[in-house]
Amino acid sequence: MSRPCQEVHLKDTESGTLVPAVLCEGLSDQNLKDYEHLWRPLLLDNAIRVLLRLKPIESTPEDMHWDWRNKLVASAQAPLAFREYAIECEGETQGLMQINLGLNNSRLEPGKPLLYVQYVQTAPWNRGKIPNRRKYALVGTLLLMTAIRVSEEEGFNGRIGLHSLPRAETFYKGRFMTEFENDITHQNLKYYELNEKSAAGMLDNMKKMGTQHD
Amino acid sequence: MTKLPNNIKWYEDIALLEGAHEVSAGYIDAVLDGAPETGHNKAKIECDHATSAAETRRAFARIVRELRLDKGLSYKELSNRLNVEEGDLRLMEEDFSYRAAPRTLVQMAEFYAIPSRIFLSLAGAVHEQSPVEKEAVKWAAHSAALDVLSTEQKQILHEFVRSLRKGYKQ
Repeated sequence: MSRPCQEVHLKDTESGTLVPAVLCEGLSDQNLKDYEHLWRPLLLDNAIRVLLRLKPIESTPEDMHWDWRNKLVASAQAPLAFREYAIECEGETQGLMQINLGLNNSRLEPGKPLLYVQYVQTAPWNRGKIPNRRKYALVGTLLLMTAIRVSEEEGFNGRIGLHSLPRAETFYKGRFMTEFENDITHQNLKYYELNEKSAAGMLDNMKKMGTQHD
Repeated sequence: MTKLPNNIKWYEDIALLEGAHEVSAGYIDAVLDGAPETGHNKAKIECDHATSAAETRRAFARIVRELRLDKGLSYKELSNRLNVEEGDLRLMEEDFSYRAAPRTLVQMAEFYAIPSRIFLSLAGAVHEQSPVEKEAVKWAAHSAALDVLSTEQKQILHEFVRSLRKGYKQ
């Protein structure tokens, strides 16, 4: 059975041009194989370089232990709550996301539900550290924009929440999400939330730019 | 499905928003990775991780022992070749909780001509069980422990090491 997909664009950082890519709902076996055979060896290799002190400890991949097959097992146990997305370009998986539409409450607007972004991960070559040049920009942003759109469609008015990995905090901080203190119930990671008002601006912009529904 | 704009201007605008920052969210610790935080799942995953880590350590000890026996070396001889303490080599084979220094592991990997990243992974020097580690556990579970390797065991060991040298690509 084919997955629903749409054409999107990524930015090739070398040429500075936008290149066609696809955003798909659901993960294919190829997405999982790309993760295991293309992403993981790079993440592992980088971690070993840190162990051997060939690279600074700050460059340890924070998500090198993730196992997307395992995440799908959790997803299959609650299929109405979890949903996954993948971005592919030039035949390779560039980014993965799992969202949780279960019972998650807003901290900014108590009593209101939100979409919780369980995981967002971009391919190692899209980070600018492993290797040192970043191949494509926009992968993580497009996945988050998708989460905001889904939140709206599911009646959460664009509200999303997530726990950021430490190196990604700069992205969320001071841009469009509200930062909370380190969360001791979630490995002491910082929690970020996008409120309805901030989401509305982004959603309006998307609609002006031609968002469509199937 | 949910659709994003197909307008080039929109992509250029959000590219400015992303800048050069990493975008990621989730868990940082392997123990909790991959499952919702329900008590049952958390306990099960913690148990699975502990079991697989212990199995990997046992498999690694077996591999290190059999590689040494395959070369017909005593602890002392290998210690001299690698310039590593004899006691460390014994601990690597006999104490499953012992963690060898990365430099020792790299020296040993070079001596046996196994890619160091795979050897480190087998040694549990990095988190999470790789496909190669899983193969190592299976291999160790199906070969009997002896002080001297039989011809058949040697063949199995050589085949296994060849598969390690091929790396992760399957």
